[in-house]
Amino acid sequence: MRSLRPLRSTWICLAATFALKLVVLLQLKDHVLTQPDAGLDTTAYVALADRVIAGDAGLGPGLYFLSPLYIYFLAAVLAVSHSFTAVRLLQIVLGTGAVALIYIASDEWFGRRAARLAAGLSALTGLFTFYESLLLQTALDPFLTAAAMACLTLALTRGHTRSAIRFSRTTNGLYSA
Amino acid sequence: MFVGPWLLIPLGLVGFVTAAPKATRLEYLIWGSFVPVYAVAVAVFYVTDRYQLPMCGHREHKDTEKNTLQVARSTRRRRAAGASVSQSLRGLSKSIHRRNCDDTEI
Repeated sequence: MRSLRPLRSTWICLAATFALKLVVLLQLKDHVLTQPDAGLDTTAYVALADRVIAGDAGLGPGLYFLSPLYIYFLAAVLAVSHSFTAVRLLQIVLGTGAVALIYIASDEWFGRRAARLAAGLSALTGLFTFYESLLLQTALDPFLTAAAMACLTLALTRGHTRSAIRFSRTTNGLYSA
Repeated sequence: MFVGPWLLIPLGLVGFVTAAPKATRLEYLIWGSFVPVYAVAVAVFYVTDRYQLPMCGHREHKDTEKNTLQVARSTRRRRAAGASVSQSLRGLSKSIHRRNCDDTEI
């Protein structure tokens, strides 16, 4: 059974992935279509997050017409930082975490070489990085999917069945939200 | 950033089949069933799927007529997926019921 402790080379690769995502983020953050007031869902998310920050945590009356998780994620980050760049920055940190989780899951099933390839390909997938630079719920999808898959992998292949299944269930629940 | 679904999906499918571990086959199948089961669940139940991460790249929305056509196709696909899932569940429950009845008769 391989150790889950990351090697120094893994940290370097993750730092490179973060740097790559940061470059894309800096290029896209001032684009007119990625602004909070661009209209459609981004604007609605920001308006709802503002209501949450103002104390209307239930957002009632009425039903959620957008994914609830992202509203609260946005509200939590904005309450602390008051900056959309911080939200985007956190999203690319989570995206880098997704690459690490893909590495862990692939390493368990297919070995180190396949894990490196899978992590490298996911780091170079433009679609993931693009969505992580936007203020949309899709920004969390790669991280939550990778987390669910990695937890499920650890539950099935190692002895941490109960805790890993619990984590997998939690990430799947968050993903559904 | 040249990597996209055009590369990931075929590589993933080939790797999933050819690199399957022999010792933990059942666990591997449980793990591998996540993606198709989730895809079916989204196709059947998820209503506002416009902004979910596209499985096959970007969809272009050029004109209203095309949008309407896409919505109609998407609704048809969802209905077909729902019908096939419900039909398979009905078939499964029938066969289980039949087997239970046979057991009772014995």
